[in-house]
Amino acid sequence: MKKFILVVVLAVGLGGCEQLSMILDAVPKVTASVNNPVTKDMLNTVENGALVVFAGLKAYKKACLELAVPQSCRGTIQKIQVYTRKLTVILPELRAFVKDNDQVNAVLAYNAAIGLIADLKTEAGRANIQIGAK
Amino acid sequence: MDYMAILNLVSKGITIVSALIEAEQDAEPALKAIGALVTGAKTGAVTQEDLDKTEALLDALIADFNTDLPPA
Repeated sequence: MKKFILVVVLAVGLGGCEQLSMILDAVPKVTASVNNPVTKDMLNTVENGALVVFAGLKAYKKACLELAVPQSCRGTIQKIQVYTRKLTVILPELRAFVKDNDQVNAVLAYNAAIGLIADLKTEAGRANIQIGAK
Repeated sequence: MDYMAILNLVSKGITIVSALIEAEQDAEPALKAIGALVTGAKTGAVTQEDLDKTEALLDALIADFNTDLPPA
């Protein structure tokens, strides 16, 4: 019973716009450039930030599947997946460019990944506003 | 090294980890991420081995999230 209550508390928390937004904020927003090249440290920071984000999203999806949050969460997850599936294409490219120190392409891929995460956050925000309006 | 950005990330990560632990959900990946951030900030030079570990964890989490939802 205790576990169920705690899961619901987390699920409701994660289901709220503010909490989901907080989770998605755990990724740096600094863009790369010729003057600010993509280093292994920058890649490490972004990937660890993304790791925290996906740990939170995994819990949100679990709560959704356990019917612990309003079922509009299914639509939210599907909309977020449009962006997270694109990440699975960009991330390996970004890693390879950084490893080879191909800075021209690394900067492009890094900024694309950061932009994708920003779009993902916007989409999640839109979805949560719709949830609140129902 | 942007220490303020790292500190900000660690702070947000701890909040998320706390929520995951309270709900008895798997907080280990997020904890490892925070550890990697702190280690990277401390040494100032992330090794390829550090990156490989993070990337394997991240790829597994993304793959898990990207699986289709079962029918309602």
